[in-house]
Amino acid sequence: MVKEDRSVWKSNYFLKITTLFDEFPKAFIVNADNVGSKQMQQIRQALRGRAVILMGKNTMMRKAIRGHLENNPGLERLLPVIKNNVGFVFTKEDLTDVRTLLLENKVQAPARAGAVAPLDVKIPAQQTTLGPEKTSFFQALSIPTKITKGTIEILNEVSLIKEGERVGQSESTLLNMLNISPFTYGLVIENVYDSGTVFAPNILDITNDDIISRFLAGVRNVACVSLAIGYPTAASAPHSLINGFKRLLAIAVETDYTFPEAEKTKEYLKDPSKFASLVVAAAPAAQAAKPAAAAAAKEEAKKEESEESEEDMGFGLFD
Amino acid sequence: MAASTAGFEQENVIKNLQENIQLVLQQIKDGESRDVDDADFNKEVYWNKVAAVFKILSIETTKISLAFSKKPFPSSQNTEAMVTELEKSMLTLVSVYYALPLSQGTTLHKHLQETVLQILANLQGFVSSLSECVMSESHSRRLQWTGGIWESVDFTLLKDNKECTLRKLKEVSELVQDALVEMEEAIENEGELDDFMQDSEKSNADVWSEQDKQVALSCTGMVKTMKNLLKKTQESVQKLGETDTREGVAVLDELVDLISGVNIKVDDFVCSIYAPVNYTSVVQNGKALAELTDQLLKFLRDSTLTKADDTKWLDFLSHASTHNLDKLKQVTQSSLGEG
Repeated sequence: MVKEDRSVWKSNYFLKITTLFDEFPKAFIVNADNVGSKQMQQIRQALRGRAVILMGKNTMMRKAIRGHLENNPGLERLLPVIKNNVGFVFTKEDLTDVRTLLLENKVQAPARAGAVAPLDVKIPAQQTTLGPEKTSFFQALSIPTKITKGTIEILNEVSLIKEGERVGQSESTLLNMLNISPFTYGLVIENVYDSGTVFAPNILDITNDDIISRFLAGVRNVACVSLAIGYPTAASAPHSLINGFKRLLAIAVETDYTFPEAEKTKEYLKDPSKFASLVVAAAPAAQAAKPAAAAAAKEEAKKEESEESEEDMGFGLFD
Repeated sequence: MAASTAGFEQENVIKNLQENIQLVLQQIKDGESRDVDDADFNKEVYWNKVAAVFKILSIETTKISLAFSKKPFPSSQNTEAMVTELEKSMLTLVSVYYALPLSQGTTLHKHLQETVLQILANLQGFVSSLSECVMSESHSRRLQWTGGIWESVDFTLLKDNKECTLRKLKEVSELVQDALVEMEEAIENEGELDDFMQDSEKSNADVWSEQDKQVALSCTGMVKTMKNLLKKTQESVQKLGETDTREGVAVLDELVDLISGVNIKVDDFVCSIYAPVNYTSVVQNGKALAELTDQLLKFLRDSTLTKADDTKWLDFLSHASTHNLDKLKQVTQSSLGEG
């Protein structure tokens, strides 16, 4: 009788997974390394009504998903990411909101031996409450101490564990004795699933600014190609105009022909001393010019797309 | 009034685009791959073209995403102009997809198909998010789907059958390794399933009997054999896999066909060892896994992926497979005999 119950339990689990995938279009695939059952319980409570957590054996989750592919073929993309200590956080709500909830639910945890340190761990210089009999621990880790008023005093700040290193047994014991819980652990989002697509969690950080910079990069590419192949587009037109102006200017400089916009350039070339006096006049004001230069640089950054032509024009003409 | 008509027209443009994406998606998903003449196929030119089409699609999407990032949203006329450009690049994508000759390999074809489908699925999500921008001015989904498209077009495409085969082998091996780790953990925990469904009812069938433990231990050997076989297969493909001839390409496709069943067999097998253990089912799944191991070994032995000096490890793994299955049968025999 009891055996039957447990077998039913197994098949219920499969049913539960498939029901969740049918009910929720979105899910986070989270890694639960270092998250204990008590913390998991807290996270479940924090998410109640907004998201549902499903943990389980990977082989079972994959088996259940395979069995459900006929109804929901988009789930196939999930199979390769169900490995290691992962689970699902299903939701119908905004993904960024649920992510914030997950990030809020991290807890301080002691450094267990064998765990990989997510950050550097330092012990500040302090007067401990430990008696002299514990000195050997400190000696084993080459931490300078002295006994003050019957307890151990750590003399300097000590860098105990480096990020990415494994926590050793002595380090773990020492931190526990000092009552230091240096790490914070929680569910770590590895992938995001939404309506048949799987993507990296950093996609949720994209802002309109990213879209603008991608767009500008695209415009620059279009302008470059257009100029190179001589096919005018809206993106390349300003460059073409300015290049044309450059040529006109070059002709005006070399010949007697002139037009109003070329006058100033011709004047400079005719009598460079005027130009030089301008430079001399500018020299004492060099300090004052610095912010102006910065402003100019800013302006340049703004007009990045026409940068190339302007540079050409400036240096090419006054060489 | 005029504004609502414009909104309605815009809605129609978006809806039409959605339907067109769905059509293309369905066609690529279900459509038979048409074979094209490979006499003039130039690998480098082809993949450059694919990369260019991906880039154009990304630019067109970014353009639309930017246009819908704040009010005033583009007029229905401008929306239509942008959508037309996007549709054009989508059609180019389809034509480029079909221009890959079948002779380049089924695995490579599948890989390209998956990538294109992923792009289209993201595009579908993106277009549906545009309506949300207009209706409710909610932008988070537009940003998310724009990012999804960027991610899918920036994905590094594998460009020949050998690279694709190696990737598939890696993917399969990783899941077999994962199943093996799970099995070893189960042995540590005496086969008890975690309380991940949060039901408090525990029963005495939750843990293994002494015989269950013996059965589980003999099962790990079978999964380990498969894991090692996949590792050796990876080495063989790396060393002897080739894509310059049709035969070479076909051998890799056949191999991928075979290994595609590995994860299903391994996962089914591992799932069956949790308490309460049903021996008939364990042996059945074990037999299926051993059969596949033997099939894969035979295929490698007969193929161009192994040479005479590989016989030693092929024989070794073959013996291991037979031995492990025999052992499994032996430890379950008494119970099954009784049953």
